[in-house]
Amino acid sequence: MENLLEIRDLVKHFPLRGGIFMRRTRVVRAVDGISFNIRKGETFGLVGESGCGKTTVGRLILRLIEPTSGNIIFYGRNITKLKKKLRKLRCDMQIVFQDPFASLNPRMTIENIIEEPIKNFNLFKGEDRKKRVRELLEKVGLEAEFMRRYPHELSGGQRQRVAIARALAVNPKFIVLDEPTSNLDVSVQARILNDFMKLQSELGLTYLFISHDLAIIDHLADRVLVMYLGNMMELSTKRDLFRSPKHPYTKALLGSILKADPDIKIEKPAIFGDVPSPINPPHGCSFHTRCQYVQDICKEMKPKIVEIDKGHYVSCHYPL
Amino acid sequence: MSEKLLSISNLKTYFYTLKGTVKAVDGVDLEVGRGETVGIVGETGSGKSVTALSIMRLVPEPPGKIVDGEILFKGENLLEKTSREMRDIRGKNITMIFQEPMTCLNPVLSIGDQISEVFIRHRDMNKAEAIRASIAMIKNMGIADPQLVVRKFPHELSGGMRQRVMIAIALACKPELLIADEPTTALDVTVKVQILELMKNLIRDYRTSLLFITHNLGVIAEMCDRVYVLYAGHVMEHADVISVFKNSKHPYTTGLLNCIPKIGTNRRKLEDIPGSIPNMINPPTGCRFSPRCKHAKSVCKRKRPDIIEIEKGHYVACHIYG
Repeated sequence: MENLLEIRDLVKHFPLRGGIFMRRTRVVRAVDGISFNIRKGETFGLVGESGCGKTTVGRLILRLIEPTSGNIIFYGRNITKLKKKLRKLRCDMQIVFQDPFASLNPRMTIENIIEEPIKNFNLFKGEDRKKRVRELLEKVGLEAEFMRRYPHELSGGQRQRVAIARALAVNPKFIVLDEPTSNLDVSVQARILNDFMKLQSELGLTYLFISHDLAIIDHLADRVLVMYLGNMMELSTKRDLFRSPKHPYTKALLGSILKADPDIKIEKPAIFGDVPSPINPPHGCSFHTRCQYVQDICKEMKPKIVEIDKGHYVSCHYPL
Repeated sequence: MSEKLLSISNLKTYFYTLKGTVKAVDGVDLEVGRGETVGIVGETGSGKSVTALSIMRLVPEPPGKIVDGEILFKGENLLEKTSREMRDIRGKNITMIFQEPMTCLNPVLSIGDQISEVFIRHRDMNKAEAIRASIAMIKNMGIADPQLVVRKFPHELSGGMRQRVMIAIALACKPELLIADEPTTALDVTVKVQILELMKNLIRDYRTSLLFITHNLGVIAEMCDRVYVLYAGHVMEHADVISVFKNSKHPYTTGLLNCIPKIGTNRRKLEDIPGSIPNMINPPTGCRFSPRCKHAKSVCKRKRPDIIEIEKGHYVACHIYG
């Protein structure tokens, strides 16, 4: 399958300023050299715990923040340094944020919110634009009467559907979904997830689905990347990742899934301790402080990412 | 069920707002036995947190008010206690932990100060004794270097550590009942599992009953002996955990169980529950779930169903069985 996106050695360090002159004192290594491809038409799952850099990756790809180094190649074109043409690129790449409360302007009607990107890119005018907004609302399962309403009149699920309609307004090819259902109730989440799948097959969309919930990733994704403290731990097809995880961290994550079945209980926690701070990440393999298989080399040398099966990449000195 | 520790009947907690009266909890009956772990599961606005706050008598008043009902704790009605008596009960007999430990811990007091406060208030210890007891308590939470941690401040600890400190404060006086309101929701998955494990072990060792409130069915399945399913301030179904998960009777419970993605569902269309949670100022008449229920009949919109025992210990409020 054709690659839609190629990410090469992407790095993002956020400077921390401190002291009386607000000098750069330390850096947060949010994303520390990751490379992967996203194929056309697939749902690429990105999973990890808080502070692993998953949201930063989503924003870097969209050029909402500037990478420290590395390259982002979209449709064969390097977009890392685009300046004026960046605006045009927004038509191809869109995002749906986690919190639909924060991502919709409370002073704008739903119609204004959805037509704003259409106006910005001069896609439709006058009656056609109104028709397009109605069409988009229909696509996400909202009635046309919502056009005159304001975000505060809508429930969380309805608001998130407005955010999806807005993202679709410019006919994008690629959408970053950054924890789009984690603020929603489960009964509403199910419908939004169904919508994502339906829209993908109707419109031929490619998704980067960012989540901390492995069950959702397993449900939706074709391939999955597991991140930890800014590093890639494992990348493979969903099937291989869930059936035979090669990285101890992936295995621990899978062992932490709480199943809605009282007969299946977690005997004992898969790993102990908390995620270390990305300001001061461990030397060598970033996971070694919590890994039960840790050896001396793990503390000193950062493992390279290697392909151990076809399409199955892992970054571990002693893969399982 | 063993001996009753907590028994709530017909609890009604309303909030009087400018827009109207929000009937957050509207006639809830609930029981917790000694040593039992009882789960309350429900979505936003189901009244699960307000039920917990009502037990603690912490409903902000105004706008809130407990308008009716009875909360018997060891046979005594908590709703008839004076605020001084309640202060003695809170922290000693009934304690509570919340979702976001950072907002519950005092940022300007050290961890040691905050745990020892409980010992000083309820156990008449002096400061030195209380600090010693606090160190022992922190050690019980599975925290390394307790001597060091007592001198730290909340911002120096990770989310998981803070929640352990909250648990230490809550269990310091070996309470008879611990109420946990979404205690693991803000935590990462690998930390969540550790905290649940810790809570399980501690309540067993301390013989504390646990009332566990969450929207996460996976957590309920892991932790609880019995489960109450709440929707819009009403109890829909309650039974032992196995019956609720394997043999659910209420359409809402069944809907909830079907709509969560599970490992291996692989892009199958998920069942969803149409509509959204009702406006609690003007809740639907009759069964509050009826506007979203695919089995709804005309009687469902007219009359609130009684909760009936359809199998031993398995209670359902639905006209299908009436």
